[in-house]
Amino acid sequence: MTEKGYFSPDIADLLATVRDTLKQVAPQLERGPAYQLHVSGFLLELALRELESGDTAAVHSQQRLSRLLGAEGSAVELTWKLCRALRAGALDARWDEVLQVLLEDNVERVRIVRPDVLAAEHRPQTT
Amino acid sequence: MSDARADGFDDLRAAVRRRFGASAAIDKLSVPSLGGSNRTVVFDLVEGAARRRLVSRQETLVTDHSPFLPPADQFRTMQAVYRHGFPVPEPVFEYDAADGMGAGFVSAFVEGETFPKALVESEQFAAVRPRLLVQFGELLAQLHSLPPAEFGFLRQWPDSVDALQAQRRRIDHYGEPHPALELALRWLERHRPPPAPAPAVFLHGDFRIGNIMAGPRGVTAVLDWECSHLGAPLEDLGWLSTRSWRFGRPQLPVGGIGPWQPFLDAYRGAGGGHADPESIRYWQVFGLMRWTVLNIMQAFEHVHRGRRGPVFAACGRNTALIEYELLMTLAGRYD
Repeated sequence: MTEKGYFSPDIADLLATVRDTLKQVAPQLERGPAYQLHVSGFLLELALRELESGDTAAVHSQQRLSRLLGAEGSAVELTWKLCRALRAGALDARWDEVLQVLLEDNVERVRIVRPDVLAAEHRPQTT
Repeated sequence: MSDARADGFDDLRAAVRRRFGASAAIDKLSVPSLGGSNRTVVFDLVEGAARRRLVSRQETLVTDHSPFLPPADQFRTMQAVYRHGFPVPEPVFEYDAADGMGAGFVSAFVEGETFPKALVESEQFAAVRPRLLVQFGELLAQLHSLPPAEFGFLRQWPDSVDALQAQRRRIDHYGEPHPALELALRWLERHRPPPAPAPAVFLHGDFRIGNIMAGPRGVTAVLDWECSHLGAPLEDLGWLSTRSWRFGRPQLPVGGIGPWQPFLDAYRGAGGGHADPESIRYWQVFGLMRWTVLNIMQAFEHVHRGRRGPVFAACGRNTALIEYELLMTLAGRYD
């Protein structure tokens, strides 16, 4: 039994239940409403993955950007700082390095949103 | 007949009667739920024994920094291209203040398929796809050769002045930090093509699968003129071939429909200028950047302006997917 076993189903189960129900109902609807349900199901899948990964992506992003910029701050503060530096051309000489950092950052977000669209080199390792 | 019911369409009914007489009626109404920036109603205009299927579009997204043309300019654009025999739904009438329906217009209904998956993948359209490739080239060449002077009213909009700067201003307005977009904007700034010797041409601005209607014999209509502007012709070619618009078939650059050559041959053969994949690549990067900005806009309206819905919410998170394609393209790993 889990720590919260007396208050089940847990939140992941609740989201998955709604997602599965939407999948069952959608084929019975016309194209427009079915599409709305399909997208709603996609949002629930995404929420489930984010729930599972916690704040990993944000923590990693803060660490990467801090190293790249040689500065301290929250992930949001550092992201704004990076945006300003890019627009000013201050990172033109470090183009490949910046591109690599942004790609690593982005891949973690895509793993939450739709991991199936990632190129093979970026897909999560399965054991 | 729906006249006797309180069906929520009294305004449309009155607008039709103002133009077609007190005996005109509307019938067989349907409200497609797809579509992001307009309220769309499809209906029959009934005049005695005659019936005509029409489409009403009312503006629902009225916002500062909107990337969309006001309906009056969309209507004027459609009138101009219709006069030149381009396959666009015939513009029928524009709403005015007396209608009390806000901005919008009514055009003819055209039969055909717009659903991307059907056009790109289905067996039903397998034999039509080679024809579509050629038609896409011919239609874009036709649009790009229309006299720009007839579209002078579009010069006032930011995308006609400087396409890059227009996107940058929208990013600033939405107020979200997107380093991938800043990187792309920087790349686009540093790789700007030299100014064209010829004047800017008329662009559809959103010529892609999803806005092109087709039937068994090919294209039946080109829809959605809300992003039309003046600019470089390759911008339209880049948008059509932007990776996000290949609908799961990235190996087929022309909208997921087919390869470059038949399309480019048709474009050149119909009077379009020189175009090759390398010169179009700049506008594919621009297209990925622009598509990200459009998604940020939809999420902005969802979060901050009360225009709620799962599709708009998904747009916000989908920016990560488009930025992935953008970064992989800039890294030379996607073409």
